[in-house]
Order: sequence, then C-alpha cells, then structure tokens
Amino acid sequence: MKKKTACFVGNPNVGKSSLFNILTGEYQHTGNWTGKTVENEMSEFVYKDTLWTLVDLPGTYSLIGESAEEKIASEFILKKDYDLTVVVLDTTNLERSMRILLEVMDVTDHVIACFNLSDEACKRGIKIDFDLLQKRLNIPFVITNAKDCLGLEELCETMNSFESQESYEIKHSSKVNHYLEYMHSHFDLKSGDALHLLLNDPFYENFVMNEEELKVLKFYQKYITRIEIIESYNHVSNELLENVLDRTHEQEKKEDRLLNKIFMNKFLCFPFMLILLFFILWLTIYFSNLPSNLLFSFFSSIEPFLFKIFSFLPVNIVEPLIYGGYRTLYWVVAVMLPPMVIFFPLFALLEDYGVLPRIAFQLDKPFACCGSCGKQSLTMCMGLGCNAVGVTGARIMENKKMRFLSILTNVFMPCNGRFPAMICMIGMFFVDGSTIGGSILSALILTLIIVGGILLTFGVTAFLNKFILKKEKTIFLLEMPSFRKPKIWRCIKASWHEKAFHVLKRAMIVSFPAGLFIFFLANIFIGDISIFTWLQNILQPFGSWIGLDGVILLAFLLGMPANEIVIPIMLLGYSGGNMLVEYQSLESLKSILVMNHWTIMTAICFIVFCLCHFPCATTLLTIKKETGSIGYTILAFLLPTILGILLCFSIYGLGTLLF
Amino acid sequence: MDQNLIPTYTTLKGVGHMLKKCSELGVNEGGIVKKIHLEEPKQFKLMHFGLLKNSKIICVGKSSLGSPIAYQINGCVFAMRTVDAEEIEVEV
Repeated sequence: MKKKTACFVGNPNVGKSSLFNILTGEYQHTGNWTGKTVENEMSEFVYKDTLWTLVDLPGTYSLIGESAEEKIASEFILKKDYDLTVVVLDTTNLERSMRILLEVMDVTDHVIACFNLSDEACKRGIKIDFDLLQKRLNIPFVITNAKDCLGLEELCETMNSFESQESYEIKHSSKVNHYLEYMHSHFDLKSGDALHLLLNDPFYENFVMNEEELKVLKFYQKYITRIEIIESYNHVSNELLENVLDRTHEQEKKEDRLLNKIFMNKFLCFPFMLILLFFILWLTIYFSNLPSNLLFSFFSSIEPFLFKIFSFLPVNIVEPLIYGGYRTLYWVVAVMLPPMVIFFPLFALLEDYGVLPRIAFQLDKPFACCGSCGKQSLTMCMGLGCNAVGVTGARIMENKKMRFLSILTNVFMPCNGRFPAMICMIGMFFVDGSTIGGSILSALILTLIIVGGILLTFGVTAFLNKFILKKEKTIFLLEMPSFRKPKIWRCIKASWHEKAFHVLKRAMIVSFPAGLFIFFLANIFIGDISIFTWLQNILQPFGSWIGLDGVILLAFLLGMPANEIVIPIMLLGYSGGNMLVEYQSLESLKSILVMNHWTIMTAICFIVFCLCHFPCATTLLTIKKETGSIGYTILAFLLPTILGILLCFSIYGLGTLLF
Repeated sequence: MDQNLIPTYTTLKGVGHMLKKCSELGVNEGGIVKKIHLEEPKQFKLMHFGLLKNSKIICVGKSSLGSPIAYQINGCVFAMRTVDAEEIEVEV
C-alpha cells in the first residue's frame, strides 16, 4: 500500500474540518465561526490502494498572515513536507478563496482545488462557470458539499490519481514582478517562496548565502509591503474570475433575512439573546430532572449488591470504598451527566448555526467601554461549557491586554461543573424543579445568576483595565458567517463525544479518589476529633462570618481538582463518620443540609460563592500555560476569591440586618 | 427593486463621484472603496474580508449601541468599529 500525506488549507470556516471529519471518521468539533481550529489536526484514512495521512490546517486568509494560526498553516505549506495540498474554496466567496489558492499555487505544484459549500452558492443564486475557470488554471477541480457528503468520492479519486502538471503561471503586478525578477536572478525559488523571502519570513533565513545578497535583500525589503502583495494576488484573481463568476442574481437566504433582522434590531436583540439563554437553561433543567432521579435510585439500589460482592474483603476496606469513593462517584454521574448531555449539544447547535458572532457584534460597545472587545463574549460562551476551554479560547483576542482580560475574567461564567450544583441548590431551597412551572422559575433564577456573572465580568474587566493591565488600543474586526443549518444528529454526537464525556470522565477520575480521601479525613481521629472536624473547626469562624460554614469552605478547597465534587464532599463532611444517610433524592439531601443549620441565606451565599471563587485546578494550570506567568495565575486565583468573600459577606450582613 | 435581491452596486441608486466616509453609509447603502487611511495591521486584516481598493462595500446593519457596524463585501459579512470605518473613504 502506498503511503501519502495531504493537507487541507483554506479560508476559515469553509468546512475544512467537516471534510476532514467525514473522510477520517473523526469527531473533531466544527463550529460556524472563524478560528474554530487552532492547531494542526492529523488523522489517517485508506482509499483503495493508498493510505492517506490527512492534516487539517487552521483556517487562514493568507500565507503571509501574522496571527498564530496563520503562521502554523503557512509554515506547514512552506515546508513542503507533503505529497498534495487540497485547497478548500468557499464557493460563496470565490474572490477571497481564489487569493489563497493562488498563494498556494505560487509555492507548490501539487494542488487540488476543492470547491466546497456548492449548495449554498446555488441557494443564493451565485453562478460559477467551473469549466472556464479550470481551463484557465489547469489544476484538478473537485466540487463538494460536505454537509450532504457529496463529491467526496470524486475528491478521493482525484487525490489518488493526482499527477502534477504545468499549471497556470501567475502574472503579478508590475511592481511585485520587478522585485520577483531580482529574486529569480539570485535565488532558485518559486515565486511564492521568493515573496516570502522578501517579506523576511524567518523560515527562509538559510537561503541567504552571503553578506552582499543580504544587503540587497534588506534594501528591497524596505520597499515592498504585504498589502501590495495581496493587492497583486487580488488583481490576478479578479482577472481569472472575469466571466466565471456571476453575482447579478444573488439573493439573501430567507432564514438569513429573518434572523439578521432579529439580531440587527435595536430593541429585539438583547431580549432575544436573554430568552435564548433562558430557553436553553430551561430545557436543561426540565429534561435532566427525571434521568437524574432515575440514576440516583439505580445507583443506590445496587449499593447492597456491591457490599455482597466485596464481602470477602474486611469491613475497613469496603466501607471507605463504597461510602467514600462509590457514593461520591455516583453523585457526580447522577447530577452532572443529564445536564451535560442536554446542555452541550444545544449549545453546539447554536454555535454551528452561527449565533455566537452576532452576540459578539451586539456586545462590542459595552466591552469597548471596559477596555476589551466583543470577542470576549465568545470566550465567555466557551467558558459556560468549561472554563479551561474558555481560557484557551482567549487566543482569538487580537492583543495581549484583551487576551489577559478575558483569561482573568473567564471564571465568572459558571462552567458545567458548577451550574448543576446551582440547579441543585435552587431545586432544594427555592422552587421544585420537577414541575413545568417550577422548572421555568428555576431556569429564570439561573438565568439571573448568569446575568449576574456577566455583570461581574464587565465590572472586573473595567477594574483590571483601569488599574492593573497596561494600556493598549483595542480592535474589533470580526467576520459574521451566514447562518447554516447544522446537521443536527452529527452535531449532537460530536458534542457528546468531545465535550460531555470528556468532562464527565475527568470528574469521575477525580471524584473516586477524592471521595476516598475525604472518608479517611472524616474517619481518622487525632485524640477525640477527626481530621475533617479539626479542619472544619478552623474554618468555621471565618465561614460563619460570610454566611457559610466550615464544611462548605473546606468542600470548596478540597473540590479544587474539579468543582463537580464540591457538593458530595460537603454531604460526606456533614454525615461525618457515621455514613448512615443515603442520597436517594434531592429531598433527602435537603434534610441533611437543614439538620446542619442551612437556611435560605446559606443557600444564597453558597450560590454566590460558587459563581465567584477560585478557578478549578485544571483552569489554573491552563491559565499558567497561557499567560506564562505565575503572577497572573495568582491574580486569577485571588481576584474572584476576594470578590466572592466580599459579596457573601455583604449579602449575609444585609440579610441578617433585614430579617 | 425586487425585495429578494440584496442591494449590489449595480442596483444602488445615485452612483456618482462623491466621496463619503464609510461610517456615513446608511443601512443597505453601498459604495466603492477608494481610500483606506488605516495603519498597516488593521488594513491587512480588513483585506482578508475583501476590503481592497475598488471593492464594492455595502452597509448591512448597525449594532444597537451604534458602534460596530456590519458591512458586506462579496457576500462576506463582517463587523468593524465606527472609528475604523471613519478612516475609509468610499465613492457613492
């Protein structure tokens, strides 16, 4: 079998990842917004007699770009460490796609043009004469539609039978051509490579032979700009597209028009976004109630069997394993799994549809006032899934200041590890979530909490911008892709595969040993009291000061590895050494809490502290990695914690004064 | 004008030789980009959206708080802040 390597390159958001997923059977999550793929993704597939290694490069508008993703892509292309480049073109915006195709053709002969999104172009009434274009370019063409899996067979066939041929010679504008002629007389390079050398691409440093050449090169470098090169490519592409592209019958899609009207409307957009958030939360709360209870009763019903199975072991080993490890584990699964399985796909659907950039568009002004830009709302949305992902996602921010602002404030978005705990608290102390009315009310409360988190984000961003981070100009330039109806089932499966189970797995890995650990803490006695009680007594005065208690604080501290386990640790702590209480349902949980002097005030303070406390260990590590600074990591730890303590203190103080 | 058609350069009324700031275009108005006074990195980034000399630009919407404005070039919709749009001159 032959072994070959091919890479996918193209503008962002043209469906490279979708094509990649279909060909290789991977579940890399795709999203309808620019910058979804930030690293090279690699996978293999077999077609007939060839084993292809496919590389999915991050979307790039140009090979001479400056951002991190663009550099990754251009470096790969320039290295020429592949047999074939498949340039994926956006049929709805050929003008732009042609530029990257020409840039790639300038560097390598091994090019296939793959025209994706062909159905979109048809729907919008854009007419393209592919035959004429192919005659002009003389490279293999494939027309695909990744959404309906059309044209993939042809793509594979073309890839297998590819032979490089004499293709179109790009005629640059006179100025660029002048520089190129000089370059050709000195170096044996293709024109694309020569242009990169002219732009002082560090990758080409080893091409320059002697001092003399370097001097001349430096001289020329002063006079050519990236903009001129792009303009030159644009000129060529306009010539190529003459009589090929016909936009005179172009129409806006019906669904686009309606949704654009809502999202661009002065008065409708903000209420609409809130309703959208509320609706997602409501679906999550309402539909996770029943499965959650079923899981609870299932897991507690098999507990006696587990005792029987492990009866050959001595009691002091079995008890910690089951009371400590098993109970914490099943708590995490029963409370976390149903909301995650519902929330993640719903969110992924919105993402695929192209809603997020519109939110960023509307929120740019308020963020600009705080010294950031609308793109921060994109990282916040990612944070709603998992804060660590949100922190990594902050790479989309254009400059360092905005990036650090969104990293440091990301924790104010309750992640999936935290908001099920909030739902649980709301269900126990405020409204019964099992009825429709109750679930609407609790979704409303949760929406308010998240809005509170958003307001905190604004406040803290403004504070950091004013007092801590260096002043830097902010920019906001964002592409807003047209709405695309996602393949629903594929999208749901991908989000389960990639997010829900991934997060759950992490929580489960942490929860079992953590449960064991707490059990020992609660059962190893020094003198009269257990270590747990001893620690709890130390924290108790401080805890009661801010409306919480020692156990809650200790649970938050011990829950650092994963916020999901805060509540089970708390319950384990309350039930202490004698593990007689089984957690069968929310009702029985509430009774445990009430026995330990919980009031509505405690629940409110708990929710506030849950929203506003130090990030989990994974997030902190990610912050350390992304900022590369211990100082900022400590700041990321202290900032929300202090804020949370202050908030709880004032809420509790106000509450005791009033009631 | 057919309601289904999004305005393109040819369907726009009043194509003359007047220069206007891009930010002054009303919703669904358009023009041809003539001068770009932005610094290099911003201009380079905008080129990716198709903002080059002589390209047809159409304003498709303003955000509710006024600042970012959405424009369309060759079917690509993108947003930029009003301050940046003021630096671009279009012929209408």
